[in-house]
Amino acid sequence: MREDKKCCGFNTRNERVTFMAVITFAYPVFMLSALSLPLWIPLEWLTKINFTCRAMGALRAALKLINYKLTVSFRRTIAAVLFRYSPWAAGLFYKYLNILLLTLLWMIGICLMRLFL
Amino acid sequence: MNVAQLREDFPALNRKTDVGLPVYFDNACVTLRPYSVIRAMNEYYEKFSGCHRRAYHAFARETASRFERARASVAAFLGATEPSEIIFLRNTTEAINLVARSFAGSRRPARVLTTELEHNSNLIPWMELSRQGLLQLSCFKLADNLTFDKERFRAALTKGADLVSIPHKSHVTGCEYPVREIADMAHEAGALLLLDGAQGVSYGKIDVHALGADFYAFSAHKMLGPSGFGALYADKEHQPRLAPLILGGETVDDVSGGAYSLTEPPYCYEAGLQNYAGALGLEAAVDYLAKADPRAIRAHIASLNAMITAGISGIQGLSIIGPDDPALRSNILNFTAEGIDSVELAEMLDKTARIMVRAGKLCSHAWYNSSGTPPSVRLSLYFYNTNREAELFVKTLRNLINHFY
Repeated sequence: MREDKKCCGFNTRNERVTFMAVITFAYPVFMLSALSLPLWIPLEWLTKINFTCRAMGALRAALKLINYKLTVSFRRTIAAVLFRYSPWAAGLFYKYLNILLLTLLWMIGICLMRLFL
Repeated sequence: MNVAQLREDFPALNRKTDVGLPVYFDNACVTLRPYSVIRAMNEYYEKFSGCHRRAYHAFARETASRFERARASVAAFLGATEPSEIIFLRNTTEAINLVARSFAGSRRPARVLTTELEHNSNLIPWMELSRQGLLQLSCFKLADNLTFDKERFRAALTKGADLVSIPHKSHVTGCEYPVREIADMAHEAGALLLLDGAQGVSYGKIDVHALGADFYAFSAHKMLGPSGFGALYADKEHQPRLAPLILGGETVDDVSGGAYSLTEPPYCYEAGLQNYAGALGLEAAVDYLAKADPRAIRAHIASLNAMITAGISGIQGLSIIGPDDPALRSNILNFTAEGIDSVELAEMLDKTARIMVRAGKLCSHAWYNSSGTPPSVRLSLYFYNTNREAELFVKTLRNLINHFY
């Protein structure tokens, strides 16, 4: 991890989060955590172990990685325009655009694999 | 105080953007400039852009007279005894460097005392000279809520000090330090007092004698004046202790046989051709502030800070740096939001509602790093900010935190 220190401590993000890491690690972690959430609730009730909270933590961390460098400027610009009309819609766009794009990429990848393998 | 009328004096505030009028909350960094300051600076370039103290033509005479008039205005603004106690420099940083270099010496290194929470400008010059063995630097801790702790200061003083260099008002917390008491304690211990007045001059006239300051450094851009211009007040009793930071034109009376003689103060500290437009701009800024009522400015800013503090209280994960009571934080509201990148939040405030704030470590890396405080978002208010702007900030911040993170 690296921090780019600009004038007077105006920090900008410059951590090395690669696209490959996002698509092969962060995205699967996010999806698995999201999809497994309903399973954790009965398990939590049975074992008294806080599985839901842990899954939510993994989900948030993965989302942070996904949104760290990908389409940052584009999301901020469009979200700022949407914000004037609906802060809720702007937030939704800002947070989940990358998930949508990565899902599309995964679907394209799976289709291509089916086609050629 | 008629804020709406005052806002008409500031062209930048009336500049419409795609998101509406700008909301400028970065006044601890740079204040906006009124028309009178801009006009004063243009006047020099348009009407008599000559030099001073080196030519006898009409433009030079006018430049010299206006430059000295500006010095006299600044002296009156600070309550200095004589205009010659005002040394025109580029900014607070240069002024502190001038004092620092003057106190550096290898025979008996001067002992300098500062707080743990300093702007880099009041830390790095001392740190560097200390590293070179030319002075001894000690930093004392503030109270837990970052207000001034007199007992800790007293304890630090007992170890010996030749100079105490502290801010008049903190740029991180907004806390105004009890300068008169600090001065009395320092003088009693045999130390001189240098005040970093960068944040202390923005409300109007001050009195360096009442404050007990031996040196007072400040920048014009924090008080409606131009960028790249500032001054150092040096009490005439201690001024001879200062050694010129830069030598060259203007600083000498005569040069002969490999030797030179310095000219009289303050000119020996003002090397090269001066920023005349800057001086005229600062004079106009001083005039503008002199007409304002400091008590009304303070009351207006305090009510805005209280309003914003109340508005953001209860937002989960938000913590204010400095005292909780807005009355102790003057015009500053500096906060961190757990799990949210401060620069990103500042950018979103700007992009969504054109609310301009500062984010990062605010030129105080040493304190942020040693205390483990993450980079923060700082709002710094001024008299031209309005209740509507405060409400807009609260609403926008709440929306951003609720929907974006």
